[in-house]
Amino acid sequence: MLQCHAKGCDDPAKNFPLEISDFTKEEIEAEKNKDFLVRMLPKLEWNALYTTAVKLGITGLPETLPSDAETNDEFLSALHTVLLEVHIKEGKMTCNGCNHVYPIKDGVPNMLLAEHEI
Amino acid sequence: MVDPIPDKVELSSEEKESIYVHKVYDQIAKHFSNTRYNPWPVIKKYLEDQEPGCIGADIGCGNGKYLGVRSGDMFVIGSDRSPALVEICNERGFESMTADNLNLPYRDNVFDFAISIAVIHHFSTESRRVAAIKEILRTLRKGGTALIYVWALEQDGKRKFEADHQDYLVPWVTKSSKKDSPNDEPNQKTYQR
Repeated sequence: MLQCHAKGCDDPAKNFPLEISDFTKEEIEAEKNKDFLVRMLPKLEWNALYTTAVKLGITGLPETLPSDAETNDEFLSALHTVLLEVHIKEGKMTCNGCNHVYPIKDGVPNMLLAEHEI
Repeated sequence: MVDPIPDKVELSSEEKESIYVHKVYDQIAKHFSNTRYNPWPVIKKYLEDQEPGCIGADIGCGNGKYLGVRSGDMFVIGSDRSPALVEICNERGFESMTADNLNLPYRDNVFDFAISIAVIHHFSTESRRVAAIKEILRTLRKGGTALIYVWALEQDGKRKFEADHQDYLVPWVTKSSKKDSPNDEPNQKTYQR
């Protein structure tokens, strides 16, 4: 779910979403909970999620939320994969506003800012 | 037992925290993690009472003790200032990142809830503590809640704290099992008394 998620990151210029690049990812199976997915729908920033998923080479997510999202099993399965099963092991997240690069190493992002960026 | 020392260290807040908090936790992370395993009941209940499908943050998640309390129907994301502790979270399979409580990498109003357990007293001044709380609140959606635990000013236990001083350095003593000597030198971190 890390980074393949609507949650954005903040930086001094307040930009979201961060641009992912130079990444390696892996898929780890997780138990699907339909109720959880349906409840998450209103919390997702769909555009951000979609563009990031595309960048990660994940197909299967529609460009816009389908009108029958809550009952569309195929859609929910694709969403489940993106939200809960795809993990980024290594990568870079760049802010399009200030160009700060947040690294991801071994699955862990480092969101600390340098002194002059605070 | 090693006594706590009143905090009279004359350094800037950042320097003080760098030496007495950040560097200390990086050294004691593993031992610290081994002693943190039982979720406290009030916090466990708070997490269990959250609505299914909610998103929360554990700010200062340490070894991820609370990240796994409830899984499957809610999402909790952890962050901690100590890379060593975040690595332990990661090894345990939890979503976590290195981040600073005073500058959280989250947008405004994203979380349904947040927990901050035994974290804020690591900040060395009142204004930084207030700033840390403000940051947590910034990330909560309207109507969201936060649960914050800190060391109490009132202390009745074995450690000796003087009544007239609020901030203390509290010793953390690591024991080396392989070597002959029973104790490593004590490491210390700043606590609000």
